[in-house]
Amino acid sequence: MDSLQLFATAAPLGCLFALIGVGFQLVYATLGALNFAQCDFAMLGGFLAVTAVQVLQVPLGVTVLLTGAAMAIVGGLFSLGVYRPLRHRPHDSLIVGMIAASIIIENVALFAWGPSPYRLAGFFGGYVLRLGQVVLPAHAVAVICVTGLIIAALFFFLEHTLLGKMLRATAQDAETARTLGIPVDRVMVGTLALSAALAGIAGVLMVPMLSLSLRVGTDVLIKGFAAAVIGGVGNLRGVILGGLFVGILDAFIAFYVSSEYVNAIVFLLVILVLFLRPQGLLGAAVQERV
Amino acid sequence: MFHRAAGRAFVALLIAVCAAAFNPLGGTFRSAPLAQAAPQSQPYIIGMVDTVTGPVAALGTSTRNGATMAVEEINKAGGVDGHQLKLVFEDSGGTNETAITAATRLMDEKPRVILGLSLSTQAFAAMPAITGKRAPVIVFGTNPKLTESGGEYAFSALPNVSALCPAAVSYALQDLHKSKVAILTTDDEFGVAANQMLVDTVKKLGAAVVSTQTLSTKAVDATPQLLKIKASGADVAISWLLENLDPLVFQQRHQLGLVIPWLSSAMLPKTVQQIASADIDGVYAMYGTNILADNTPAVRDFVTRFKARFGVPADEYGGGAFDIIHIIALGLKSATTPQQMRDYLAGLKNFQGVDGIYTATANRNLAQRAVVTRYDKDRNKVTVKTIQF
Repeated sequence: MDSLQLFATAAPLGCLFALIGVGFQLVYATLGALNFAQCDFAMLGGFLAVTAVQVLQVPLGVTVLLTGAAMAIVGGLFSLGVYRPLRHRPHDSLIVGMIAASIIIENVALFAWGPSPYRLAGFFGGYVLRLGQVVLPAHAVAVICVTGLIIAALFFFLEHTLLGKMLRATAQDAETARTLGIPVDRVMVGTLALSAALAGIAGVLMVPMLSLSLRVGTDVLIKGFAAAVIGGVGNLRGVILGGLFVGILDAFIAFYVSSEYVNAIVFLLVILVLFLRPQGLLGAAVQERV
Repeated sequence: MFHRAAGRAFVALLIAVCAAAFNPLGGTFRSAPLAQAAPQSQPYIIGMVDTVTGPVAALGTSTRNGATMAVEEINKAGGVDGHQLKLVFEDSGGTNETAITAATRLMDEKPRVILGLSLSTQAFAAMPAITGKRAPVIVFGTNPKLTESGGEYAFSALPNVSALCPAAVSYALQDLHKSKVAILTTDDEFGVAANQMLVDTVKKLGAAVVSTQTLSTKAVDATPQLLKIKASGADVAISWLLENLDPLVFQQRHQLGLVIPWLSSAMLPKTVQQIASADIDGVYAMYGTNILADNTPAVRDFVTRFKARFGVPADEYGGGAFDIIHIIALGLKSATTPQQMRDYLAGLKNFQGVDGIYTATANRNLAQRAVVTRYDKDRNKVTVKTIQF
């Protein structure tokens, strides 16, 4: 029964890790850079949602959509203000730029919303489903459904729309895509906007589950990163499964092994995957010809 | 015209300096009168380093507010023997590294006394940069080993875990008549110190610790730990967590139907506001004082002034910092060297502040008191027991 409860609690968390991981993965594949501000996009999305719901009295469902749109704009601005000026500089400059942007976003949030944690009522208020001895907040079920819808829409976008195909082409080989007439620079702006929107939505969904503080994004980013590595860098399906896997693994290790060494064990697994299967559990091996 | 005027001024200054240097009465350059006059207008510098931008910035913001308010009021009333107080504040940020940098920078200001460091983890890291007989340091971190690590110049300002944890255990066992205790703490210095103190006290009082759980300070899920507590058969639980984790733990505890009596470490009012009423109803929490429920006129007045000045309710941390500045101001009347200030703090007795009475112990803890409170369904905390050590 405990295992079922752990699974029920961890699955929605895994969905959030997956959403963050997918955004992380999209940016890495397209821009070739690790976006250290991804967790701050989630945090910022959460804070925007707090303002929308608590101050402007916007319903949570509408807030999810509005926050996604607002964070897409933030992602676009981030691309124009941080990525584009640094993209031709040495890679280290880009990394430092993204870390700096992450710190700035955190401090802007601190200035705007203050240091205290925030909490929102979830979808369906505080209603809790009870299946035998297993309890599951209705909001957690909504998180699983919303995440599923978003991921389905994302796959449709990537595989069946022109923009999505341009994004995939850029991710595969930016130079070839450019010679084929794809506006690679604009696609990169769009990728960061999409990634920020995904993180922002994850942030909104997170607030009723975890409560929101300046710190909340860090652990989720780390887990999102672990999801990307375990699932397979370059493989979106792998990242989604990686997110679920990490969320559930986290809970089971804390319960059955030790709550003190959860992160150590999860990242030991990440290192093992990097050693034994660098392409991730679902990624395809790529041979380089020299 | 300008050059001629400047030249005359230079010659006049040279003559004045030579006259002073060859004064037949003294025979040497006498700068003493000038040096004596200068300190009259020089402020006494009080250094403060605390976290106002890190993940638990709410704590540092509160202590900074309390200290700022005390300095402003003392200066408005004329300062200390004609000297204004100057609070030099450095933000220790969110990591130990930023805390060390902030503390090192603060020392350049040559403060008379240093206070702050609400996070024990940061306090341990920064202590070597600020201790060593240069100025006494009064920390808000509640790990009891901080005063040891800082040496004889280090003092603890707030009731620390050596006061609050035994009080929590004692209340759980002797007042609530429970015998099987579960403990949940964070994995940082704050939580580790509390964990050890709680376990030791439970054993000392002859009861059993049936479950000991830790949470990462960045945890996003407490379900495994709460399920383990539930499965352990505990009849009471004590949690010692950072502010960011309290809403998560109380929400999940309620959802999982963990209905045993629950005692918690202190929480800031803003944190409590973010916890649903149903999640916190009936939770006990340990404080050094219950400042919002204190009807003493001086405390009520402080609470009103604090709210008017900062727009947020007063809390025990802000009250503690306010008191410490007043304690320092009193010491500055007589102590002119770091040694004298240290001796004054070490000998402090029965200073009545808004947070309660301050008396230095042999371990250099200035505040040894505890208040057990219980949250009602409106999230108000009601004092159920006061313990003065």
